[in-house]
Amino acid sequence: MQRKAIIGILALALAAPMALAAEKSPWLHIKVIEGGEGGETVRVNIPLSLAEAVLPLVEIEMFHHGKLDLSELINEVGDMEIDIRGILEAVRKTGDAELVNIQGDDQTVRVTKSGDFLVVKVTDKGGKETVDVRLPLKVVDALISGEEDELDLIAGVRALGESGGGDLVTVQDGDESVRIWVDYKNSME
Amino acid sequence: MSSRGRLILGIVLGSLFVATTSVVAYTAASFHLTGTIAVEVMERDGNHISLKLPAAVVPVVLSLVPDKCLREAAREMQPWWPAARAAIQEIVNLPETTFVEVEGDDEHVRVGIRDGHFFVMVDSEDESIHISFPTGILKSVLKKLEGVNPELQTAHPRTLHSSYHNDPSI
Repeated sequence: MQRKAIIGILALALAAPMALAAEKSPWLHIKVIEGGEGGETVRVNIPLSLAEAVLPLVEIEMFHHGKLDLSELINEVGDMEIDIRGILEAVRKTGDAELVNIQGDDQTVRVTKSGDFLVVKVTDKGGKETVDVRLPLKVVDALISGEEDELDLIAGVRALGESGGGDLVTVQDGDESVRIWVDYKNSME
Repeated sequence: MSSRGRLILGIVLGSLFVATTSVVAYTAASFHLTGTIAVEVMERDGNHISLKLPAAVVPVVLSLVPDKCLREAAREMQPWWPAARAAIQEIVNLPETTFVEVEGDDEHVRVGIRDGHFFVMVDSEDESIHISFPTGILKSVLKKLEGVNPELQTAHPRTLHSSYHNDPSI
């Protein structure tokens, strides 16, 4: 009896850290439902640790050491100088507020600050198509933490993992939908 | 042949057998590969192919592949090597999961990890193809390729340019 109890305690002691490690590891999930006849459903589950490990070692054109070089893109835009860091700093200092509201002929775009999140909502006039983006400000900070003309994707991924999870992007267009979110489960179920 | 001759021949053949099996067993054991490589193809018209091999044969099979072929493969993979190595080291430690699943009207594709095995399953109206192998094989292949091409161990990511940017006609 005593032996069984010792084995049980040992098993728990070994299993608990593994279970906790699995629980705490953030995963990025993407679900795309393509509507209509013959439409496919695509599900992707990627551990953020994998992205964090691989991104620094991928070198493709504008992407080096996990950083996306935007200088070429900025040059193409022209001489217009936009102080993204300054804008974000100002946004952080303001309370919850609507920052942008564009009422177009066929759609509405709203950008708001809600708590620690930057929320973008695009709705078409018929209400058929909606796009919701909910980005933690910490992730935005991390993305622009490097040099002026680059996005630090590794820092962004790390910040995303520390942000506690939740929906990042949801798109609904009739019977088609896209959802991108982070949580601590290794599957969608 | 005299009884003494038969005895010597027996000892020599026995020693050769023990030496050969020991080398094979040592090679297999040194990679600690357990599990099964399974390939199953089921066609709707009734054809059924099923292949199951112990993963321990992989190091032995790899040792039979000419180094020249492995060096060529390693050379082609070199730009992606650091990323591939990092990805494999992460993947072998992941819990069970389905990385990608595509579900259509007439086809269902799944890629993931289950019971320490990497799997690819394609089920369509015409056939089902299921392939699985222990994730440890990836490390074993990695080790072998680095063995024949030591440069890979210190390989740095090399910038890759797409054909779009290299094509002067665009």
